[in-house]
Amino acid sequence: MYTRAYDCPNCGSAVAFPSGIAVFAVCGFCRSNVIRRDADAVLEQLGRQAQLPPDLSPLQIGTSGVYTCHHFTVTGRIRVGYTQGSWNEWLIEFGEDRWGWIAEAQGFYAASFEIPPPPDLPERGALTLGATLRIGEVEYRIKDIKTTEVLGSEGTLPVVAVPGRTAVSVDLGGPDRQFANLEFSDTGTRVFVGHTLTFDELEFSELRPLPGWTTDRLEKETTGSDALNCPACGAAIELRAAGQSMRALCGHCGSLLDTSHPRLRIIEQAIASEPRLIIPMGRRGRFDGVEYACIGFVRRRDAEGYSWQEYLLFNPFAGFRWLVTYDGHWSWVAMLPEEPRKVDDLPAHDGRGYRLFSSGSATVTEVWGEFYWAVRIGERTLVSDFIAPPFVLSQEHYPDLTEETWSHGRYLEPGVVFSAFGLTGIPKERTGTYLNQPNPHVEKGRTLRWLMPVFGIAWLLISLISAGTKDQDRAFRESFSVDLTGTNKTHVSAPFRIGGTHPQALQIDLHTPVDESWVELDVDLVNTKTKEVRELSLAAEYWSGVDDGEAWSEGSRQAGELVPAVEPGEYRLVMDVDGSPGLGRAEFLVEVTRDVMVWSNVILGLAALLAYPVFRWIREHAFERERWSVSDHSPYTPISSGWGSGYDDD
Amino acid sequence: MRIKTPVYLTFGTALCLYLAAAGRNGYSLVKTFSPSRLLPHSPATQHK
Repeated sequence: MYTRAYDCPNCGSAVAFPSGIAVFAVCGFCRSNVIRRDADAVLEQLGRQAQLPPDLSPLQIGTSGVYTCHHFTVTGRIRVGYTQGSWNEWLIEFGEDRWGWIAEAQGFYAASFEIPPPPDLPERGALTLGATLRIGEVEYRIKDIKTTEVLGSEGTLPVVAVPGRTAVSVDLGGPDRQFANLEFSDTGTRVFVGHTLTFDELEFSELRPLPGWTTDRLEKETTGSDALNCPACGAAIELRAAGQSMRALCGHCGSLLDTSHPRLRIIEQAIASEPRLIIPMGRRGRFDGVEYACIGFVRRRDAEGYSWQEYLLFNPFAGFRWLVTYDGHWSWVAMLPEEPRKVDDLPAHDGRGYRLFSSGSATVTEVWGEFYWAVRIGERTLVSDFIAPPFVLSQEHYPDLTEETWSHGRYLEPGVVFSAFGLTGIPKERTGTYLNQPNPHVEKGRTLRWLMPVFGIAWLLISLISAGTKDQDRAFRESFSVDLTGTNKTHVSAPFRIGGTHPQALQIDLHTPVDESWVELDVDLVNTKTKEVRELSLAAEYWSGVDDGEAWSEGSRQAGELVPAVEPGEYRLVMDVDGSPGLGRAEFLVEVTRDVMVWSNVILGLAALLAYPVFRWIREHAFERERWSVSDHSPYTPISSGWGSGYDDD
Repeated sequence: MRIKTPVYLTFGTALCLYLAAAGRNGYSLVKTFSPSRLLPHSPATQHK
């Protein structure tokens, strides 16, 4: 392995250049910037740099990892700052003079490799946020443009990275987590391409011990590496995300401090007092198997006056997460390393399409704790929320920063949050329907959406088979003429036979030529053997006339009744006949048809099968209607009901 | 596949089975409780 050591031009200590690509090193003893001008090892000292500020990065010089099945070792670092934050650029070497960079910021990692600038690369001034740019075969979108400054460096590097060196950095995102960076500086234009990765994907080893996270917490107290004092009141400031936080509130005097440098600086004095926090600062909770510390709190308010709270969580390996709460509802939110792909102008993520729910501006009204960006009260963000409950995609555009971020959230039951952080008390009762609150009726509705057709088809098939196999035989037909003026109005039919081998439905019909009169039969269907009687009543009436020159009629000269489940056998009809006063004689015909289809079963059964799905559908849509009632993009027609109990979530 | 509506599944299955049985035996949902009685002294017996 190539390793050459030289004497530091300043202090004479050994300065190692472990690879042929290294042209710059920082003397580990006196912090001199040492430049190797050529292979003959003509060294030059270019000033000294201060110790890099402490941070909670899990990487260090000597950390090894794997990228696309190739092992690498971290050999150098540049700490890069910009107006709103800072990040680490770690030099990774694969051996045989192959090298690249891993950018580490807020728990995100991007491995990139330098390529020659394309000949058609636009000038810096022609690049605008959101514009697309093709590099090679990949079309990227510009995510971020910022002026950067080298804050410090360590190890050996293939570039001269003295503090104060400035450049314009343009970050680009492509499909499938592809990443590119353009760097414009006085030494020329450099182009890097690669991928964004997770901490686990890089399979790091030889990581740096992190007090309080990978080692005993006692070590944290004794090292005191991240214990600082407020320049306004002198109170101790404990940074929980040292090296990654840009702003912190002094817990004693409420001053907003710049924490991007070891020497804290006052941004604004006494601007805040400790708010009523649901999750105390520093409290740790475990989500998805990862422990996070609550390090910051922000309250935002939109143009309509709705206010919600956001708790910033930190884990040095996983980065930052948010817990957002409004009116008792909670969401777990993580920033996305890349913009979601678009389908019909709407974002899609993890195979799910999202619908625009709301868009507008949000303003920071309250802050507490520490933050990885230069937060300030009054900071305005343009926010668009897209939902696919229980998930939400939020697009945040920072007009002041020419920066756009996307984050992905999922709805949490309040009890989950309280349990994870060991919070005492009862979670605030939820009010209204939140934008990504899961519809409790959807799961049942999903089952019904396939179960209902299954039953419907079964119902139809059974009905068709049943109707197709009916005999529908005439079992009895007889005409009667009954004197209604006599005392005996009971008539008994001749016996008739109901055939078949199993119980069946009978249809008994009455036909009578009544006119301006009625005939009624109280019928007993009598089984001559078992003496079982089935009772029914048949009535027919017919009325007609002319009113105002218009003919009318009502009633019917026939009536029918179904008698279910009649056993085969011999039967008679015993009929009590009655009719209109003055009718004299009742002339009528009675017909009995055996083994008829009971169509009412088909109709009623279908109604019974539909009733529950329809009920669930109404509930499901009522929930969705309430959810969308506060959206400007509701697919439903507006209704008058409001959302929540009030504007402020206190 | 998880069934989220076991009651409805049971109800629908029972209803389909009922329709199949009703189709064969002439049952009626409407007239499940249609009146019937035994007739020890029916006029029908007098006419036999």
